[in-house]
Amino acid sequence: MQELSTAPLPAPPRAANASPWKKTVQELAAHPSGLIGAIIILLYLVVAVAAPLLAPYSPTEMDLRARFLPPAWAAGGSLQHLLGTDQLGQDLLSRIIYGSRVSISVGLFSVLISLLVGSVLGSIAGYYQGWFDRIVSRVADLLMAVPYLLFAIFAMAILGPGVLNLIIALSIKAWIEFYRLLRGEIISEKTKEYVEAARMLGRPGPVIIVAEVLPNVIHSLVVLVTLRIGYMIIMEASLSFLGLGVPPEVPAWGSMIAAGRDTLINAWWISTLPGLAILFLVLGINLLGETLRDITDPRLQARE
Amino acid sequence: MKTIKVVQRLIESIPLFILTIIAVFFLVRFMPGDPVDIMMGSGGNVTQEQIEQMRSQLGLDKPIAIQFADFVRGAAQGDLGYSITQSKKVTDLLVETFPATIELALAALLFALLIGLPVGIYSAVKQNSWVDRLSMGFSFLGISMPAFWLGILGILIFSVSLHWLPTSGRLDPTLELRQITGLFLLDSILTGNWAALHSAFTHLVLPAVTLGAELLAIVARISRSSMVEVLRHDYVQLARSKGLKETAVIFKHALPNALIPTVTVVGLQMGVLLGGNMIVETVFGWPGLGRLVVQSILNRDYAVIQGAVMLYGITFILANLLVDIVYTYLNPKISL
Repeated sequence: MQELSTAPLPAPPRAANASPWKKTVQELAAHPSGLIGAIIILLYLVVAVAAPLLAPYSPTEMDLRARFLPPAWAAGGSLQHLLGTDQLGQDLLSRIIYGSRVSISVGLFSVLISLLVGSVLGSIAGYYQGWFDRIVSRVADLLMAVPYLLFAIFAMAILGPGVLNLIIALSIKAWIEFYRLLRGEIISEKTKEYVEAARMLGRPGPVIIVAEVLPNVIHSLVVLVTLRIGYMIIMEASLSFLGLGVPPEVPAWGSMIAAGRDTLINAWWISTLPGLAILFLVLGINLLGETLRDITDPRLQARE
Repeated sequence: MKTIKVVQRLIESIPLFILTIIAVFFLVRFMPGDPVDIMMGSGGNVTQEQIEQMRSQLGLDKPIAIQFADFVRGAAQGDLGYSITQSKKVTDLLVETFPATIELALAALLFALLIGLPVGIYSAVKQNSWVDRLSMGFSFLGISMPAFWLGILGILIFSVSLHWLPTSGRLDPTLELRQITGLFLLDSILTGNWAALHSAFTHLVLPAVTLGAELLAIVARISRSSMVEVLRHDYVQLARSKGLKETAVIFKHALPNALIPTVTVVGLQMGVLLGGNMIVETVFGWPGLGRLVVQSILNRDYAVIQGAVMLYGITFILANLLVDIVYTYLNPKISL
């Protein structure tokens, strides 16, 4: 990790016109850890999209004669079920493949919704300040005071299980970080000359925000989005583990880990393998996110 | 002056606390699923009459505003109601579970700091050494995995395979321990009960490591990066050029400043310690507040949810306050 490399600050994106994205991609290629992260994420995306093609069985197909089959490489395993089967005789590989859909969609959409809500609220609050800013900031402070998981457990208990409900429950709090980032950035940029100039020219506030201020924070936003997706995937797995995630018949990594807990002594694979699936995905996301941070925004490193 | 500020901060957090209680009271009643149905559901033949009777016994047939008034009146007298699933007073349940949660959180915090700080500082001083690379690699793993899965791996390795550590609980059921503080490690030392001390310790190791793992990773990373930052400053160079020993430079001049960001981050992570324990306590059957909350939410045990969240709120507010106090002592430039 080159967390504190003294690399010079990149030129402000606005001055660099269209090239920063190209530059980012080039630099990513030069940072092997970021590239590995990107490749891992890509693989998972392919698996999630092509799940019906890749999974050897239906994820909910039970075969009670084939319960507790160990993975193919272990004693007693067979090539019929590469990663073994669970207590209901369901194929573990197929369930892990389908489980990626829940994790990725919840992680991705909860963060995208948070990004949208947080950015819009943050822009309005930062640019116009006043009563709107005071109210939203107060609400954000209040929500921040509640431990995330406790909050999410509560929300899921009220909403009930389901992918959409998971996305909602996780987004209710996750917008705050995006809100604070944009609000702070806009307040500090607002008084700068180029924004003043744009205002003098009579350009409306929303246009100024989108055209002038947003390009300055886009890199920080990308980094935050990436790292948050990894966090949300862990949160989703935690909720599913507690039985508050998706309905029981939907395969999700967290609930698979919970299901294998009682049979750890005889069937270690049921709990451990879905956990590996989570670990590699989140690792890939974090590798990419931290590399992006190193490349694009050295200032962000001190936070966390 | 400082005491006044502490009191002031306490008073400031009261509105938030009250708001939380009100919110929780009404929110639990929005949860789908009726507590009496859930409790009676498994019992087999229950008449509608019995259900109604139960409901009126619990006061659940009254209008919600009256229920709230009853709750406030009770809470003011220290009565938080009864748990319908465990037929115990909520206050008793809280008194039973709270010390277990505190013991676990403290052990996890201690574990994270005692290992995370030295590793982070050493890694910063010996940048790019193999220790640095290895520890940063591990801490990267630490922030990328769900705690409950790490706990299950721990059970699999240390309990199931090696038989070194127990899988759940706080104490061997055959042992008896006179409780003074409710923290089993402390109680067994105070009463000189060495068998209980050993048992309590082995029960505590896996849950504490599981709960503290993420914090350990975060502490190591933050203390490393802030130490690296501080070591580059002029005053550190000056101390060095005055001919001070390297250890003196590191411990006297650099460390206090490098600790400030670490304390901040630890403070922000108090929520993880207190919230993460819901998962870890569930995995290890640890009889604490976190497991109680999860169970009572699943069972719609309204009174317990309310009481537990209240206690969570108080703990959370006090923990944050404590972090603020430590923070001001480390950094005299900032006042509360």
